[in-house]
Amino acid sequence: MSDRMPTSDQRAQDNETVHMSRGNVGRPAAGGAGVGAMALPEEPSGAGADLTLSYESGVELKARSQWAYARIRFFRHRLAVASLVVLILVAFVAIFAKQIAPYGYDELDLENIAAAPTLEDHHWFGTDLLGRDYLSRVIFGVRTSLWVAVFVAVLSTLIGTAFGAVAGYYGGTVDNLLMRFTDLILTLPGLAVLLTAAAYLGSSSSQVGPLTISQPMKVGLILAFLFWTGLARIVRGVFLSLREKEFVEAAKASGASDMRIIVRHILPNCIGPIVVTMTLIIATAILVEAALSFLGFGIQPPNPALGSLIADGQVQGFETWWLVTFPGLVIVIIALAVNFIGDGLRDALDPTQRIRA
Amino acid sequence: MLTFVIRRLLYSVVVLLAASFIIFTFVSVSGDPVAFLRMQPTASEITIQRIEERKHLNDPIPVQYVYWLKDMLTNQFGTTTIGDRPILPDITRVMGHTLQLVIAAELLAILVAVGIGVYSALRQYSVFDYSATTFSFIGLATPVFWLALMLQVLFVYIYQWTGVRIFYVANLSGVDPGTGIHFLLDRAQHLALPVLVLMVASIASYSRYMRASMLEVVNSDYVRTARAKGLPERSVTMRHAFRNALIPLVTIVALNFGALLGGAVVTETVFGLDGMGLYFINALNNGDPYPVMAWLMVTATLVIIFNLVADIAYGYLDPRVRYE
Repeated sequence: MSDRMPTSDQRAQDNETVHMSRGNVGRPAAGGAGVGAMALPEEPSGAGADLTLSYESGVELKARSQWAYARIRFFRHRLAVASLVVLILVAFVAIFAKQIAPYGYDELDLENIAAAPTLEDHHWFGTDLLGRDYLSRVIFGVRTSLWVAVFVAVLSTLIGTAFGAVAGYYGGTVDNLLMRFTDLILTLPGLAVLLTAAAYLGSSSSQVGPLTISQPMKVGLILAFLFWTGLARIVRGVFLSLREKEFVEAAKASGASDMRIIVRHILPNCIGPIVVTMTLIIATAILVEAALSFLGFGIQPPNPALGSLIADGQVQGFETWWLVTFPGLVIVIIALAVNFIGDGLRDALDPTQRIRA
Repeated sequence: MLTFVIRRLLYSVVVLLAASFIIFTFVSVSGDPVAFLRMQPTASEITIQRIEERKHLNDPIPVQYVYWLKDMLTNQFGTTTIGDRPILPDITRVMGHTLQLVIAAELLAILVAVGIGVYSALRQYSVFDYSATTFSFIGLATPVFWLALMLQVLFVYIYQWTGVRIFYVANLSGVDPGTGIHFLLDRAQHLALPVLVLMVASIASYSRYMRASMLEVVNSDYVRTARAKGLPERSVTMRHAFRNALIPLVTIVALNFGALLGGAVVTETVFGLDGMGLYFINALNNGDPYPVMAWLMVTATLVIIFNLVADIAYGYLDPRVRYE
């Protein structure tokens, strides 16, 4: 684990720890294949039920579902929990931007032009040379940037999982074809494709049949197109190693369709890496979209975005330092929070991690 | 080994062709390189027509692509659409500047990161280790362009308050850089901030890799054996552990170096450095496919070469790795 900041609790190696049942990450214990569970009684209902068994050795064991263990491990990771709170707050502000922002995105306050950050009139982040309130602009910018990042994460996770699952499950020619395609995308010069595709797809929204594709969504589509490859390889790896396992054979023997085996039997074992990769994609997408928008190739005005706010601030000169500082700080906070959450999830969803009972 | 290299190179040529066609299409469709001229009242219709003919702008895009391919192979990447300026000398110049920036930044970053990584691993869970981890998390979450802008703001204010110019915040040289030692000093003052910005990102990721690989090595059997033989601790960590822990870093650095030679686009843009990255952005803004494609070919080739170097170096340094 290279990128983990273990808390003291996680480090503690305790003799009285309960081993997680391996083999079946992220499935409720009632799922059947949880062979490793050491003859523990199935958890009755709901998580965290405290069924305490006394063994002759005197070691006390509590039965918990996989999710309960994951949750406990996640909440032990204090930084991750704090980050989650921060992120929920940021997301809340972004979602209710219209209600929360003190000013509109393009509203001019002509009495306060180029005002430094102040508590007066809610200009906490100052105003620019046109008298636009930067707190409000940042709030609306977060709304767009966060939306794009989540869109990218969801879309690339779907694509990556589908590619990886089909390639890994069927193997052979299908696998070869899909993975060659994945390799091709992976070896494409990402930056060049990103920038030229952004220039190509244009600076306005467009209509595809009945669907309106907004300009930020276009940026999201480009990013998703480049971001799914890593996950596809991970999911493929898990599928390759599990498709020969007995529980898959058993499912096949009992007449389950390929689709059912893929989705119900094998896929739940990939939940850990999928969730972790998804959070990392969110962080990367936020940073890459900000850089794109800063260079003028990402989200275009009038859509607000954190990157273009910084570019706006840069144009207005060094005297108005707050125009550059605050949007950037917000990016750092979001990216940091998402990374910490990803870190906490990685530890939480790794069944080989031990836990103090 | 040789078959491995040849197969990789052949595959790379395919990728290069695919990538160049995709990007040629994107640039050609999205931009009109003569749009600027069309709006000039002084530019005659004949001039525009001549340019269109010379660059075959009215042919279908696949045909234009083939013309470009021929130009690239036989005419040193060809010339720009407007001004008919040879591209190769420009690329050579900006590559020189990018090399100065990237080599300085990467060398310093490797030194610092190796130090941090090794010390973190040897003192795992110490205050130093936690601080280093926190630093790299923050470093990885900080947008490069924002860090660059903040440093600019900081040094502009320092200059305004104290009147002392420590570093320049833009461009590559002063108006009159002078010669000899003065030129070097002037260049260093200009490159210091961009180098610092690039370093932060590299240190943040390299130090993590170094820490992880050092931890793995320190806990391995042969290190325990070395210790059991009674070797002094210093010799165990430096001769037995450290040298092997460096191997994974070689790969990461080679890959990153190859990618950075395409120009630290954002850093160069913010600091106005006349390097590969800024050249690419300017060409893209002009909508001119020829310089964009020249940049792409040089960059992509370098990435391919450094990927290959990374793999070969890994196989050489770690005899357990063999390529069929």
